[in-house]
Amino acid sequence: MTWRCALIQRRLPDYPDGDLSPFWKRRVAAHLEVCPDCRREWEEISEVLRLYQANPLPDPGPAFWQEFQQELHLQLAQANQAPEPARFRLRLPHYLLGATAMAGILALAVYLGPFSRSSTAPGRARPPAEAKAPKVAERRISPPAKMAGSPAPEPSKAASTAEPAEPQFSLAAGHSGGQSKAAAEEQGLLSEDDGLDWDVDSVVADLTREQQQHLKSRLESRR
Amino acid sequence: MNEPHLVARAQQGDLPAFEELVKKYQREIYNLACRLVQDPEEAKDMAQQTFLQAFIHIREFRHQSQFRTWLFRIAINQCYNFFKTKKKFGEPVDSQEMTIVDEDNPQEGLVAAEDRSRLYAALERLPAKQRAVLTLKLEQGLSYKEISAELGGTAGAARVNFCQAVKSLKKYLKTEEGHDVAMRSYSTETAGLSRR
Repeated sequence: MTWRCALIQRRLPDYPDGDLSPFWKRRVAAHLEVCPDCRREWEEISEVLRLYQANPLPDPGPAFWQEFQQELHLQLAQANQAPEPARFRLRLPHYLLGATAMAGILALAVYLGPFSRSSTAPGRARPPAEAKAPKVAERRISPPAKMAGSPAPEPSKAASTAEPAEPQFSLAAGHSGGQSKAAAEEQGLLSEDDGLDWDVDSVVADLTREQQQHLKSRLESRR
Repeated sequence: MNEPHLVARAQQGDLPAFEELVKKYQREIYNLACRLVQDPEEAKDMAQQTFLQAFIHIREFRHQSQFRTWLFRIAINQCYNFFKTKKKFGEPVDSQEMTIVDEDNPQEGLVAAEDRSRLYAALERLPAKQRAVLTLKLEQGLSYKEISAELGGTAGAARVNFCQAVKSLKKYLKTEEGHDVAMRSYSTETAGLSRR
């Protein structure tokens, strides 16, 4: 067998009705006319193909297909009722995932990072010294609550509440009170909200008119 | 109702539309599985599994190929999985069982039965991939490009596989022919039996 025969015999199963280009069809036909070995090979291959195509698988019959469809219908109905498995699939294209992740990181950094100090959100940015104030506020009882829980104060006792014995809680925030308040703020014992917690009307509600006048005069004199 | 419409409805979960597709392609899928696994009962299971998997994953069908060739691909994968899990090729198709003898001309029926018996015995000796190539090429009429899409590889590899399959089949048929002469007396006794 020459190299030409080997080349032709590779294409014999596709001759004449297979996937052969017109060029190879002409070439195979020309070779078969001159080469008896290749022609015999082609006849044998054609006989095999004819035998194969003449013996297809027989149809199993309508009863088989009816049973086939009934069994399959049960399986399909069962599969149709089963819930579809939930899939976590990000709908973004893969080339946008990096950009999206970077945008998320930047947004988080702006919200939590050093840029957040310049934000104008109330109560968000506090100086570090003020961070200790809530701890102090937990330890002490707020003055209105103390006053509400205690019985009616004596006039002298009520007057003593206005005394600067505890300068950080004093209502009489005069010139010395301002200094003591500043000192308390430095020590972290007084927050800026402390002055606002006092309800003067509730404090002085239980006092007589004279005591209220006395307290007012003292406050006026210290201002 | 045409096929793309049926497929679109089946993709929305319409079971009757999918069953229409099953009726349309059940014979081709069963024949392909029967050629591959060489066992009618296993082929029936393979075909049912093929349609079941197709129904489960039909939303993943993107119309980039024909629905028919997509089913072929699933069926071939099912058969390959069967070979892997069972580690055996199953019992060959009993050609005597599946032969329909021509009652009017029993002599011709006898010759056809012998040819069929030789062919099935020779096919049994072929590797599964070559059987798949022969079936897809000669019975389903696919081109080499479509076969390569089904089985993997290139169109040239599919052509080489087909050529080798035909040559191997020719060789095995010759050996079966010699074997068949010795077995002819037995075949003559059993040829009168129709399908059980």
